[in-house]
Amino acid sequence: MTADTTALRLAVVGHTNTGKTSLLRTLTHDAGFGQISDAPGTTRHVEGARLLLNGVAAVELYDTPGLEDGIGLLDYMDQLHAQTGSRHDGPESIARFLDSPESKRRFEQEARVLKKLMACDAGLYVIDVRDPVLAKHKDELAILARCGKPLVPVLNFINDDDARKQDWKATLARLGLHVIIEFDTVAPAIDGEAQLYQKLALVLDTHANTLQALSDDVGVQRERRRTAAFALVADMLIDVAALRLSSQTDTESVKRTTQLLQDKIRQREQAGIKALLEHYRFRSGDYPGQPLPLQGGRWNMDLFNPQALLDTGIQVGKGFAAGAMAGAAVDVFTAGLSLGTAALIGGVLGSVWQGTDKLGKRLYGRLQGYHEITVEDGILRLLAIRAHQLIRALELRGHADMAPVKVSSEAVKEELRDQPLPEPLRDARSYPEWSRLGGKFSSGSRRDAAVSELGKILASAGS
Amino acid sequence: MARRQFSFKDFWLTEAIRLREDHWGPLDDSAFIRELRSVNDLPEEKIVRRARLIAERENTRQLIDKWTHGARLALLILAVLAVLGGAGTAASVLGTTDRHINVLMAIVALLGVHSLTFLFWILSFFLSAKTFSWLGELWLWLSRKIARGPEAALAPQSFVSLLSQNSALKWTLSCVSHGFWVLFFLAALLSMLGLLAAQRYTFGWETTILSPDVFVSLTRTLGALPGLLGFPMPDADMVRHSTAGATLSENAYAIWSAWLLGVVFVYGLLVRALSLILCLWQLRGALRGLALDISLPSYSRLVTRLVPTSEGLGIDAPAGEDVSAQRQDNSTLPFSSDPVYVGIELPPAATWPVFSAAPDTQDGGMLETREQRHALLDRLHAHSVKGLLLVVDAAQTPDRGTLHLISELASLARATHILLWQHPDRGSRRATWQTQLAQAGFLPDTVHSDIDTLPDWIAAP
Repeated sequence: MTADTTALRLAVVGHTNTGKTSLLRTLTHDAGFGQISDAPGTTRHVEGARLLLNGVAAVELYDTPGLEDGIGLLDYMDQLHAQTGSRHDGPESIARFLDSPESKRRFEQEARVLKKLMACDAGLYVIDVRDPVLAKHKDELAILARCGKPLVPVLNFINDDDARKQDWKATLARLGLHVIIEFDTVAPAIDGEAQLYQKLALVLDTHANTLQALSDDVGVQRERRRTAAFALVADMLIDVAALRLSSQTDTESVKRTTQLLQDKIRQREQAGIKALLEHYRFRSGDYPGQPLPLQGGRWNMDLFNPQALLDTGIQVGKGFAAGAMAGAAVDVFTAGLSLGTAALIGGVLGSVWQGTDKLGKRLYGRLQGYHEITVEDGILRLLAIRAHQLIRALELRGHADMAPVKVSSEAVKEELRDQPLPEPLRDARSYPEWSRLGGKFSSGSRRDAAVSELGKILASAGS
Repeated sequence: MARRQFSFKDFWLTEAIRLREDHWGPLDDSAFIRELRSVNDLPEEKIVRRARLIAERENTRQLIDKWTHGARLALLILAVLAVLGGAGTAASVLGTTDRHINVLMAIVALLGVHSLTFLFWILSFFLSAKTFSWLGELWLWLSRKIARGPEAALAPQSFVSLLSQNSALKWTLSCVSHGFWVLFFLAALLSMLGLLAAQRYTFGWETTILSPDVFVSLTRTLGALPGLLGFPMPDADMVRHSTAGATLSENAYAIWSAWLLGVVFVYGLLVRALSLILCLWQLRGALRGLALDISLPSYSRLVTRLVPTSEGLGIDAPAGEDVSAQRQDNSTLPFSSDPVYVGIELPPAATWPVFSAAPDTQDGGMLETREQRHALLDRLHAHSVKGLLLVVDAAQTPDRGTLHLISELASLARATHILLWQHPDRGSRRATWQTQLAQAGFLPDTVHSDIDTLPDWIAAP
């Protein structure tokens, strides 16, 4: 009982460059934690992070520097042992080492690791399974075992082809470590986190309740993140769908306005992608030198390139123009009137005041010789499909991944491609003030309701 | 989970703060966030509490109270208008100089406007998402006029915005409208009762083009519903005789007046009262169903701040100094033995030696364990060598222990070369090895990535 009131303290230990900081990044869902590079000794100090369960600290994780000189340390500890001559048990010999002068010099990093592990409830021993099993690893494990704390191996980079997983498992089993967690920090399995906590619960039964709750919470949080992500996409789509730019009727002005429309929509997509990255806690600043850390052939294609539409299989009407006019729909006179039959009847009845008002203004604009430019349905579909693919990629991405986000352009959702546009999106067409990109943005609960509903529709289309 | 514990006002304040932040950007809330983070609560609860705290600081609560006051006053004004209107209409209908009442005209005067607006209200359910309710809109407009002041628009805006959830606004405005008419008809019926009790009226109908049968069927149709509630109905004969100027028995006029009251009661008061009850019931349901949609973009950002899933704890101590031993120059070191080649921590799959060794060289074996290391070091201490070739696995990460061993071995040979060997289909960390070895003092021309560049004293050409 008492064990559950304090946070479980876990030290993440292991050989250098095996992905200890990566594990912390992925478990905290924070790509900003610590420093990562494919080099030894990137982490030079112990850094902690706390996993919270409804605001209460459930687990404290400590990232430690890598063990680099296990063999040398074991030699030195033997030397200490020989000099004092007395018999020490494991923790005592560690304490003896921590008092020694070399613990502040040659073995300074190792001393930090051991000090932290002694202060924790258990250790997670991270292994890069691409490395061969070597004597130095066994020596490291021998030293760590002297701390007298439960040690749970975490096999990292298991998705790599040349993984020597079986070697490692056999070795660990011989050393008496049978509960082994497989967790790829770069591309974790969708339920990898939940399984990690469940396996830990097997070893640390005093904290089993906390760990089980944490494992359950992972799913809840993922669902919540997903819903909110699709609401962000819906927000973007409504901004784009509601955008209405008026233009003079000559070809030159229409072209210019169309280009303005295209630019606004491109920028909105960029902002949307940034918001999604931020939402999944991948900061664009973590990927230096790239405006957007995205990769995936066709995915980088311009939104208004007709090929981009063709690739996703979106039906494009005959009127879809290439080049300067791509993706824009010029409202001709009759189309401009069709605000939606209901709104029209409402307008006639005088029941929708704003409706009539708007209708009047637009009719007036038409008499004055204006066109209204909106975006084509195909572009909205493409935006939705691209956002879908991005969310899918972000959901499966570990926070330790340093490579640009790879977005696969396969598996286009039929729902988004062929079926009529969702109702909230069609509604948005007749409310130019719902668009942040236009001049007269006014948020209101009807827009919120539309965003919320559209978000749900999009989320269900993706699952 | 317990039922929602938020009052309507909580929702209202939260919505007001949200709209405010949506329009004018986020308010400073770091102190509140810190305070709320430490509390164990649902995200919705935290958002509402944050809004309450901000509202306290920004005086939003007073704003809302002020507007509520205005709204009440506006309701009162409407109520007074309803009573006056009802009584006035009744008085004007019964207020003819000859005390003769044209039944049809009276019904049109009393129920005409009401029927039209009621019809529109019903139609608006089918035609538009926004319900048509002039009186409701008038109430909102009036309350806005009453509660003036800076930022005053925020209170009604958030009120409307909040109520648009679950279409509660529709029901609220409908309630106002129906309430108005209920009062109107109460006042009208009471005034009519008073006037009918105190004065003598005659009833009749007039027409130029219609036949009397129309009036017979009309009175029958209209009187059918009130008849069910016990209101009397004039029979066909009586209707036929009730033309203007005809004299009928006192009883017939009493029946006519009761019929008129019945029609107004059922088609006016009862219809509106039932609608009011329906709207109140619906409004209650809608208000109960109020909830915060925390997946909305404006809330989801707040949720990640209020209920973070993790937080940093900082570091234990700054990183220590880099301790890397510098190599000394061994070019004059005496030697007593042939060149030696040694593999360090090569993967088990490697076939040793990985290159073809020149004659007159010694195989130092593959080093992995402590014992093997000690054995080789002892051997080199005993007989220092002319040349040493260390073969390492470039697919692995160079660590301090290995570099320490390399330096220690190198100090026992006149010349040391290092071969960065690797299995061809593995990822390479050659660059890392090169930088690490350079830092340890090995010159670039002693570090080889290729077997072909090895010096001829160790490798066969």
